[in-house]
Amino acid sequence: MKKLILSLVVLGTVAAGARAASASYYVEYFRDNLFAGLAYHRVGCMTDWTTIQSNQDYDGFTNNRYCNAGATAASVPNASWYTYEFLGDSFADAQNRLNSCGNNTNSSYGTPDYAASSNTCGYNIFTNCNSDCWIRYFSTCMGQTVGTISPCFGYHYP
Amino acid sequence: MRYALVLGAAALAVIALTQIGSTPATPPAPAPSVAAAAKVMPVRPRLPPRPGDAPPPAMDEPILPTATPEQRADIAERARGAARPGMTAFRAFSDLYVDGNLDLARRQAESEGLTLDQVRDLTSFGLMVLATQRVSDVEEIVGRSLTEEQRETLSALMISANGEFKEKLRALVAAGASEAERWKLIRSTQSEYLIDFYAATGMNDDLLDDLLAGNVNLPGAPASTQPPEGPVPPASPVDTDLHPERPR
Repeated sequence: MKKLILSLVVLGTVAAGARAASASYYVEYFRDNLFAGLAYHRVGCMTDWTTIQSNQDYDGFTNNRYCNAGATAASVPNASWYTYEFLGDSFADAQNRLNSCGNNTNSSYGTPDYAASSNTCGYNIFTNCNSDCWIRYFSTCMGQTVGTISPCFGYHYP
Repeated sequence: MRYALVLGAAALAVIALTQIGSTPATPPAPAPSVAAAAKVMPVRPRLPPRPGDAPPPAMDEPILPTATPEQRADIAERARGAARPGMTAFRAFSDLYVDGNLDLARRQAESEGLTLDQVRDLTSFGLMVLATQRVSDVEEIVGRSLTEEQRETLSALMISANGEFKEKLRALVAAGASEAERWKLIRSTQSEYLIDFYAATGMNDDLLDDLLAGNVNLPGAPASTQPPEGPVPPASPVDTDLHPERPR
């Protein structure tokens, strides 16, 4: 009986180790809820589920920083986790996809280099010019549209 | 200056659109509900998900309200001559946004032990605070660049005000504070934020109104935008899960 328990423990450890050994990458989405209302800023960070993998915030319409490389992926400063997308086991491929979609979204919303203000539309929580719509477009580009709550009137994804 | 307080009749209609139904009789605040919180606060799974794992839960699509022509006319009449047109327009869009997500707003209210009116007011305030963080817009309005220290002060201001407010609010609610006491905290937080924001940036009430009115040279600015005639369902899910579970 003792041997059986020991074997199970060893097997469990090996299985967990095998899982940890093959790094996988994700975009995890966080939301900063302001003042307990329905005002959110949303941001995507690249993670390996344990730590954040880059300093790039995938968001628009703010200068605030959320994604800090090396920090725990379970949370980002002042924001809570809300969903994720699996990006595969290649760091380079995952990062290329993220940056490509980030650039596409920046072009669409006039937020070059993830700017805090658009140079093509006036910020409006009801229309297609806010961080909800930005992250909707970005996540759609990534392949899995995340939930948002701005109606984004005028939204169009090619 | 690109920003201007140019509000046309269309914008006034928009402004007022939200006045209808935006001030319902205030029900007593319910106690915070764990069940409601669980519905609206996603929880990160503990284990890293793999391909083939159950995907994040699908979410409902929102249904947006429509305003009748009579409502629009009535609202336009009532809104004419607002003292703060930028703020009024901004608030109108904020209220439309809440009206488009009333179920979520009610659950948020239940989750935090607030009234729907308080969630509506705090939503507008949160969106306004986000607007005050658009440094490039603020710089354009005050006519000069903010120093690095000012930028840091501004960013820290949002974080500290938000954190302190939620902590105090939850303590009040836990202590069974009355609705009036919660309103008092909300109002003092709002006024203190503006005092600190003005001190950090050189903005004032008039300039804030310009900021909230938006850049009327760009499409979508609150001061110059007419909302669509009818409901247009968005093509993607709405984030109604307050507690999604993250794989471990």
